[in-house]
Amino acid sequence: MKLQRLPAPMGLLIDRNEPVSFSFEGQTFKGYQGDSIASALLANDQWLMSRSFKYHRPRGPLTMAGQDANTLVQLGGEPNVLADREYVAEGMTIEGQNYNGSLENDRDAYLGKFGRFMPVGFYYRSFFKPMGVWDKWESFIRDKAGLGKLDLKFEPEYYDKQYLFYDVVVTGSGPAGLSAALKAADAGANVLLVEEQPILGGSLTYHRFDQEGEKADQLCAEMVSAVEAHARIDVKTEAVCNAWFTENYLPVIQGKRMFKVRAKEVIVASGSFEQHAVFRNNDLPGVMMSSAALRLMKWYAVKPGEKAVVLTVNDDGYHTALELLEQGVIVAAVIDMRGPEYSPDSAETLRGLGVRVETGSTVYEALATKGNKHIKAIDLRQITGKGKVSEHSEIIECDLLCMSGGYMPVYQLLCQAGAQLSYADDAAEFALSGLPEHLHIAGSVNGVHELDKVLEDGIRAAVESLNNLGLSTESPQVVGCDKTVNFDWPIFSHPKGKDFVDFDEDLQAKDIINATRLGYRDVQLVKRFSTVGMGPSQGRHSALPTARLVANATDRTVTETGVTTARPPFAPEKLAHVAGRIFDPYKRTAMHHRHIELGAKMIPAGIWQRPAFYGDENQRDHCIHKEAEHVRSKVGLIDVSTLGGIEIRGPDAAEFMNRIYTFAFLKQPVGKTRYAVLTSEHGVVIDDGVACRISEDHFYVTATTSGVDRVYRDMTKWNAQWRLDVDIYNVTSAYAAVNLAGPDSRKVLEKLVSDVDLGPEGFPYLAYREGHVKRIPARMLRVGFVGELGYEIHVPACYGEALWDLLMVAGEEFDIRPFGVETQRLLRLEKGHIIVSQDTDGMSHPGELDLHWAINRKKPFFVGCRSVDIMMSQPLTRKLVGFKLPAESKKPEEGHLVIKGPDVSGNVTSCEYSPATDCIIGMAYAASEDADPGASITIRVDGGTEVLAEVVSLPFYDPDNLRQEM
Amino acid sequence: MSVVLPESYDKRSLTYRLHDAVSYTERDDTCLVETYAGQCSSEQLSECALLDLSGIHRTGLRGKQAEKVLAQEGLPFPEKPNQVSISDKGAMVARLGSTESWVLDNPLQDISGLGMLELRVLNEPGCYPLYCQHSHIWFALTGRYLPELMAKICGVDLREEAFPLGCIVQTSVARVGAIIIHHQLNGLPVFSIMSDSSSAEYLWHALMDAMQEFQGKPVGLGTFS
Repeated sequence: MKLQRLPAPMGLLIDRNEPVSFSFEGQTFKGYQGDSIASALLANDQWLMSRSFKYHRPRGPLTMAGQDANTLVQLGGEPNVLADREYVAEGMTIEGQNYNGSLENDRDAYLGKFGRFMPVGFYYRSFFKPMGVWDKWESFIRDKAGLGKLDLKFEPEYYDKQYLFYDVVVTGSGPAGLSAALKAADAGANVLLVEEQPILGGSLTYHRFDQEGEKADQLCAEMVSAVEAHARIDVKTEAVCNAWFTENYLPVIQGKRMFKVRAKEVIVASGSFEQHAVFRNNDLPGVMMSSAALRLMKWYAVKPGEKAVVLTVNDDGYHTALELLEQGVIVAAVIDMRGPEYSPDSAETLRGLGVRVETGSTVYEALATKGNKHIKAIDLRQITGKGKVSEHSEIIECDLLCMSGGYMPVYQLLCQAGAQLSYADDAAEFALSGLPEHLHIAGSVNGVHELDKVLEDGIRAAVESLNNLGLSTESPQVVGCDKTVNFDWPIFSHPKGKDFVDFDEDLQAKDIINATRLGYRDVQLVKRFSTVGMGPSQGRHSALPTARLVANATDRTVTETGVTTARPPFAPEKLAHVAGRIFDPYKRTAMHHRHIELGAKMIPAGIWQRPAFYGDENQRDHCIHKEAEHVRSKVGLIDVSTLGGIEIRGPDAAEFMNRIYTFAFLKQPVGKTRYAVLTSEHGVVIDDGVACRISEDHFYVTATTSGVDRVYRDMTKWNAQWRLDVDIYNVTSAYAAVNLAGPDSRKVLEKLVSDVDLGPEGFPYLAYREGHVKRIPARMLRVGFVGELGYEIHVPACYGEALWDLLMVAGEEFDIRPFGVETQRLLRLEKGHIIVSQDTDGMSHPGELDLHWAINRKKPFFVGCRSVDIMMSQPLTRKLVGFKLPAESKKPEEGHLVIKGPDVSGNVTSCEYSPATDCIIGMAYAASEDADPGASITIRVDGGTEVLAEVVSLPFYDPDNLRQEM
Repeated sequence: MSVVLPESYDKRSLTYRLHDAVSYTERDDTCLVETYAGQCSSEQLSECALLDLSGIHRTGLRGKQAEKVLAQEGLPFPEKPNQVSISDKGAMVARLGSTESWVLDNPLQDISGLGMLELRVLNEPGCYPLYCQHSHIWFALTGRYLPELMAKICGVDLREEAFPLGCIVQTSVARVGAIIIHHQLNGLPVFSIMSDSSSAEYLWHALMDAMQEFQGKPVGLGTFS
């Protein structure tokens, strides 16, 4: 058998002037541009495209619309590509997947013969006992499971996202979608029309709606051209609306982009999935949906067979037969499960063309060529009851079996939106109800199947949308449709099985029934036990027969049984669509590039990037110790721009500061700084900083890098209650800052500052001054965080890099060196200064931190004062203490536990080797009885060994503060 | 390429290292990109272009008396928050809240004296200066793809019908806080983006990335002349 291309107008999607060559399973094939991989292969008589998941049965296309797992192939490094969706391209290399040996001769095909030993749920029931048996089976099962091969050397590609905003979004461009879009746009709405296929028209592009076969083509051409010419309609083809989220938020995927669409109104005109019939060997290559055969012919000009049988439960099978006949396919028989009274005219027409029509009959079994590679005949039986057939068998030879087994609405988006599915027994069809506001349905998804009615239903949905948008006052006309398309029981189980309900998971009718017999009566449990609907097609074809089988087996109605929950995504989407082009903001200080040029090892500090130290990252400790020694002996410079900065301005500024922070600020002199501790309402220390009083009604207060946003938020929150006359302004990004520290820091600064007296009396410790560093306006603070003579210099951010440059040049003669955050942490540890959030936790109150001195007991209020009072009146259970160990001792790390007998009494918060004291120093929470200097604490270090550390008074270095107050 | 270099100035754009092969022009105590090498025409402005205007003078005012101070300065005060007014000389007054406005100098014409506004505000009770010159960068996007481009990085509908000329949105762009102002320069539609200065490099890269599919390029102020 060699398939040839059909003449035009067949082949809507292909360009016969653009041939392409590709390889499949190592063999070269030819197709045309516009061909899907599957259509090109079928045109070359290559029906076998994949092997089934469990039994490794040969599989060929089922829907030709990307709605099934039969065409999953390996495309280069990408597994599970839908061959009936992916376009073929020149030079493409395609492989089958899930086989052992070759696709044609799969050594694992024998598994089909052991089906009885692999009943539903056998995974769960077979490998969990005796204890340990899973370990033996695991590698074998993992080797057999899974489809395709991942390319672990895959280079990420560029995927991104884009927002879109529309009045109306219509999903599906079949007749209902087209009519809805045109109606809405004509009334003035901006419309987005989303279509999964490359051309507009939906079923109009392949389906035959009348015996003459003219109606669809003419209507499609008119409507599509009207849509394409409409200024208010945007069209996205090859795009899938993959979910519905609250308030009509729709992710629409097209190519490598995810559109995040905001729609005021959504009209789902998604159509319905044609269903298969359940009979033995219904999965053979050559057995396909009628719509698939029609797509092959209309879209790709591929003749699907030479001799066909059509199995139908509605008029569509008859129309399919007519189309096949027109394209030169011999139609051996049309087999209608219904009685002769249903489609007498169509049957008569076909009989007039010499086609045998059998009513009240079904295909009981499809007979296969050797190796189940293709259908060769069908076993025709009379239907004698629900799921029952006569003993009399008639074999009809064919190489194509088209199934028109009815329809299931494409309900997924609608159920995600909360719609309910109910089953009408008379129509044997699910219907949707309970849609949220601003979400509408139209067409066959709404149970409307006659073409004229479908068009009216699209208009009705558009009018409802327009009414909501205020663009129309027209009354929507309810559309009724009596046409039925389903048969109540198109399921004919066979004693030999292989009557598949779910092709993805190789589930047969008996598997579903057995699941109910094992007690899994709820359809959700049946799903989880049997895995029905869990494959790539997500129940598109298995949900309806499963619901019928479960309902029948459990003596319930199909409505009571229902279908399993439809969750996003509707179609498989790549993680790249979700993860692609994730925004990952970072912040850099004005001096960032100077640090890089100086060889800094950068580390994240929240969203910021900061220099940890300068030099070889493999010699961290050495670099840090050298930097620390330099600050202690000469002068160092550190970028502290990430420090938070908040300005409090206005007549009530001092009162506000007094209420926010624990210290007293009403009488803080202008030109002075003061340590500022912030407690939460629970009395926990949550931040600290330095408050500068710039003028009577102007404070500039620093906050920790990670804490400033919270501090600012808390300040604005509190003042929303207090209504003080202040302006609270977060100026963190407005200022760049450095700390110039070391015994020579004054000498460096004196070279650059001429308008401020930098002498010890003119600018003493804890003073605040404003002046200029050369030409740069600066705020200067005498601080002692690292325990040396030091100046924090804050300048407008745009001047940050110039400030750094000026100081580094001026400091050259004093051998100035930059130092990093890690060094600063060591230096402040030597001085016993805490870092909030490193040396504190969610329970740390001022008493535990020895911060009594920073709390003013005389003022009437500060945030958290009552809690602080209560906690500090209780006996201390733990306390932050300083400890030291000999330099050669095993060094504790932050987080290591402090052990007291059988209990944990605390943990280490900071610990480093201190060059200044030549010992290991640290801070840790310890039991209060062990907090006095001279006591010992036991610290469990890496490896579980314990070291005995001596508790000492803080600070470790320069206890009289002589160096910082120079 | 140019004798005017950013490092010759104390006041520097936080993105100056991102601009390769450019010539600079002096403005507002700093330098701004005048042209990029190979930049030939102003057509790029009509298509898709990005400018760094961070060096241009701007200052903010906040407080109950901010409106009065603006009136004293002869600057127009927008009727409602999230609107922008243009002065006779092309300065923009962007009203961000009931008592907060930013004054942005005309990028195409140096309005002397605006730089002193901050100092004058210091002496006005009930009106506080905002250091938006330093806390925020100022990038400007031009061209006919503005809404489409922004839709890739911002969740707000910025199409003309939803975001007409003279409007402001305060939102996030590429996940960093931003103020977007819709105005014109030389008759061309412009989205000015003000965002945290410490995120300047990040945002520049994000904008450049978003512009790629529209063949967007960075341009200098000289492109307007």
